[in-house]
Amino acid sequence: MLFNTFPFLAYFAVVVVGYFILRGRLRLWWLLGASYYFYMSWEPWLGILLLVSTVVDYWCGIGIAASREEPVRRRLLWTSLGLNLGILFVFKYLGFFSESLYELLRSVGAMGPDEAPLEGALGGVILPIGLSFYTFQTLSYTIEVYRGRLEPERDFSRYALFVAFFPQLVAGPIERATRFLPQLDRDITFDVERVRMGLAIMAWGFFLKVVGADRLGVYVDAVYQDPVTYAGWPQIAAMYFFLFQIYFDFVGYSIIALGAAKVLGFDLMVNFDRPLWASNTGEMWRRWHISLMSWLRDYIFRPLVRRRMRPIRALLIVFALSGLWHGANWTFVIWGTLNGVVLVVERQTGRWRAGIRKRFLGFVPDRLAAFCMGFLGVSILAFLLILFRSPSVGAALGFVAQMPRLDVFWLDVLGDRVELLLCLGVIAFAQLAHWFRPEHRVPELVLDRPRPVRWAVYLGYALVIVLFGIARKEPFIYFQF
Amino acid sequence: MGLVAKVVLLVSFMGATYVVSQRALATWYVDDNYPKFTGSASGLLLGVSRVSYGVSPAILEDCLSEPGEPLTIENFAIAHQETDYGETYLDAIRRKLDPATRNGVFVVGVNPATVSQYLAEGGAEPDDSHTIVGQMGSYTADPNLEYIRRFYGKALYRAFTRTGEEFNLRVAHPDGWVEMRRQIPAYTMSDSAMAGWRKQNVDRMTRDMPLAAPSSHRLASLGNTLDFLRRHGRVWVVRMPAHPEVLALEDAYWPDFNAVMAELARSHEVDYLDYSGEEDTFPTYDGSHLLSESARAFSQRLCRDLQASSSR
Repeated sequence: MLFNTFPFLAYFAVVVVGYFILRGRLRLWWLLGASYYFYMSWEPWLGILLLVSTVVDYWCGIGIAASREEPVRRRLLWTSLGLNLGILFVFKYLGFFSESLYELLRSVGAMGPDEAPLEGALGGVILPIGLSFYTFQTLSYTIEVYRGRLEPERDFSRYALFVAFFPQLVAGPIERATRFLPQLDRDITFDVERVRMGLAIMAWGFFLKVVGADRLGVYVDAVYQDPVTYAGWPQIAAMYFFLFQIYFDFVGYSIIALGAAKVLGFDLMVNFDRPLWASNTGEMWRRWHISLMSWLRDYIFRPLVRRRMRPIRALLIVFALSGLWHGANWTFVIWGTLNGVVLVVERQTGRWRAGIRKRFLGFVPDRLAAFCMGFLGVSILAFLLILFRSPSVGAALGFVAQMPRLDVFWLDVLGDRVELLLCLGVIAFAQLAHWFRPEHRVPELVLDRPRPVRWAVYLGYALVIVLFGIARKEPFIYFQF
Repeated sequence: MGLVAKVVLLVSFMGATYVVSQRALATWYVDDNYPKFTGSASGLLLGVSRVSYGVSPAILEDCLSEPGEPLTIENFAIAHQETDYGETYLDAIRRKLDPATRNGVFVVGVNPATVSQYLAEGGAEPDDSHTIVGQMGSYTADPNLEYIRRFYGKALYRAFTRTGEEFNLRVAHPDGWVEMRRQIPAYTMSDSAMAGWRKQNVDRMTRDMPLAAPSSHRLASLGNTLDFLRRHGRVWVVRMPAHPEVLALEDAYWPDFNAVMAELARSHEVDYLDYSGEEDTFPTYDGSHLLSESARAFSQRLCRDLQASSSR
C-alpha cells in the first residue's frame, strides 16, 4: 500500500476515525493492528518476520535490564544483534556476497564457470520491504538498553507499536525508542490545529512525490535507458534531475510519514533539513537522511573513535557501510565510500582553501562564496549518484563515458519541452519554498495567511496535484532499501 | 466550516477535477494502445507490434465488407510480452469480440516471439497476468476510464493543452492501428536514424533470443485461439514482413518456424500466409515494423490475398 495511492488515503481515514473513537489500550491495539495490516498488505508473511524480530528484541531488552551479570547481558545483546543482522544478511546481502565470492573464486580459477553461486540456489528471495529501517530501529533499542540509557519497555504492545508504527515502518525515519515510547503516555485528543498541520504536511509530501519526483523520474529514466541517444547535455540534466528526484521522493515519503504521525498525535524525528541549501558537503550530510546518519554516528562512528581509530578512517568506514545499507551492490558501496572520500578531502583541505580564498578571492561576498561551495557540493553529490542510479559499475562508467559529448546544446528528452519546463519549474518552486522554511514546515507559509489566500492555495494545490501529478503508481525509491 | 467538512470538500473537488480531466483526455490522445480498448468488433487483427504497426483495419474493412454486411475490424495487437499467445490473451480476445459475430475476419499474426517463453520460466505455463490485457477488466468501454487510471503514465493537464502531438511520429488510429510516419513538421526520419534503430533492434534480439525458447504452452494456446476464432468467422495465420537481418536471427533461433506454423494452420483448417521475405516491397523503419506507406500497401495486398484465399 503506497502512500501515494487512493487505497492508502482510504486506509488512513479509517485508521484515524477508529483511533479517535477508541480510548486506552483499545486505541493502542487498534494502531498496532492497523500497522501490521499496512505492512502485511505487501506480503502477508512479512508480518511473521516483523513479529519474530519484535518478540526477540522485547525479551532481550527485558533480560538485559534484569541481569547484573555482564556475560549474560552481553549474550542477550548478541542474540538480538545476531538475529536482526542475520535476517538482514540472509534477505539482503547473502546473494550479493555469494555472487561476489563466486566472481572472486572464478577469477583465480578456483571455481568453474558452470558452478552457480548461492544466489541461484536461493532462487529469487525477495527483500522484505522496510527491513533495513526497522532492523536499525530495533538495534538502537537493544543497544541503548544494554548501555543503561533506556529502561526496557515491559508492555509488549507498546514495544511492538514502536517497531511497527505504520507511518515510519517501511522507509523511516529510523526512530529512537527514547523519543517514541514516552509519547505513548500522552493523552492524545482530536486537536483540530494539530490535525490540520499534519494534513498540510502530508499534502506537501504528496506534492513533492507526485508532481516533483515522479515527473523528474520520467526524464531520468529515459536518459539512463538510452545514454547513447541522450549523450551530453541531457545526461548532465538527468544527473541533476536524479539528485532532485531522489531528494523529493525521500523527503516526500519522510514528511508524509511525519504528517500522518502528527495527525495521530505523534512527533517523529525530522529526517531532512534543507540539505541542498547547505554550504558544504559535511553540512549537507548532517541535514540529509538525518535519522540514518545520526544512527551511524552514534553506533558506528563514535564507538570506533572511542576505540582509538583515527576519525578519518572511521568516517570512511561509516560511509562505506552507509552505501552498503542502501543496497547489496558494489555500486552502492563505492558510492558511499566516494562520498566519504569527498568529506575527508573537504575537511583536510579546509584551512588551505580558507587561505586561498583570503589571499585571492577576498572580494567575493561570503554568501556568494557559500552558495558556490554549496553548488559544488551538490554537483559532486549529483555526479556520484550516477553510481547509485546505475545497475552496475560498468553501466555507470559507460554512462559517464558518454557525457563529454557536449558539442550541441539540447535538453528536450522525448521531444517534450513542456515537461522539461515543468521539471525545472517544480525544482525552482520547491527549492524556493525550502529556502523560506524547512521541508516539514513549508505549510506554515500558507496556514497563517488570511482565509481567501488559504483557500486559493488549497484549490490551486488540488488542481496542481490532479492535473500536473504523474498518474502512475510509482513506488518510493527508498522502499527498496 | 469544520476541518472534516473542508477535507471532504477539497477531496470532492479533486475527484471531480480528476474525472473531468480523464474524460477530456479520452477524447484526445491517451497512448498508442488506448484505442484498442474502447469498443467491440466483429473482426480482429491479432499478434504483437508488427501487426499493430503493419495492418490498417480501415483498409481491410473497406475491402472485405459485403454490401449490407459491414465489418467492424479492430487492431487488437499490442507488443511482444504483452500479447504473446496464451490463455490471458485468448480470454481478452473472447471479451473483445462482439459475441454476435458469426462471419468475422481474423488475422492472427505470428512470428517466433509470439509463441516463445523465457527459459527463466522453467517450462511452466507462462504467467501473463502482469500484461496490459491481463490487468484490464473492460476491453470495450468508451471512454475506458479504467485504462486511463491503470496505464496513463503522464500528467492529466495534457487533456487541455494537447501538447506533444507535433513531436509524435506515431498516430494512434481509433481502430487500433498505430501508424508510424516518416515525416512530421518537427522531424524527418533519416535513413541513418532508421539504420540506427534497426541496429538497436537486431542487438536487442541477439541479446534476448538465447534467453528464450519455443513454448509448447503458447503453441497450444495459439491452437485454442484459432479454434475459438473459427467459430466466429474466417481466420488466417499471417507472418509479417521483416528485414533480412531480423529474419536471419529468427531462422537461426527457430529454423522450421514456417513449417510448424503451416502445419498448425493446416491442422486447424485455416490458411497460412507468409510475407516474411517481402521487406523490399514493404520496408520497415527498424527491421520489424512497417512504415506508414508500407503498412497501407501491405494492408491492401493482404486484403487481396484474403479475398483470393476465401474464394478457394
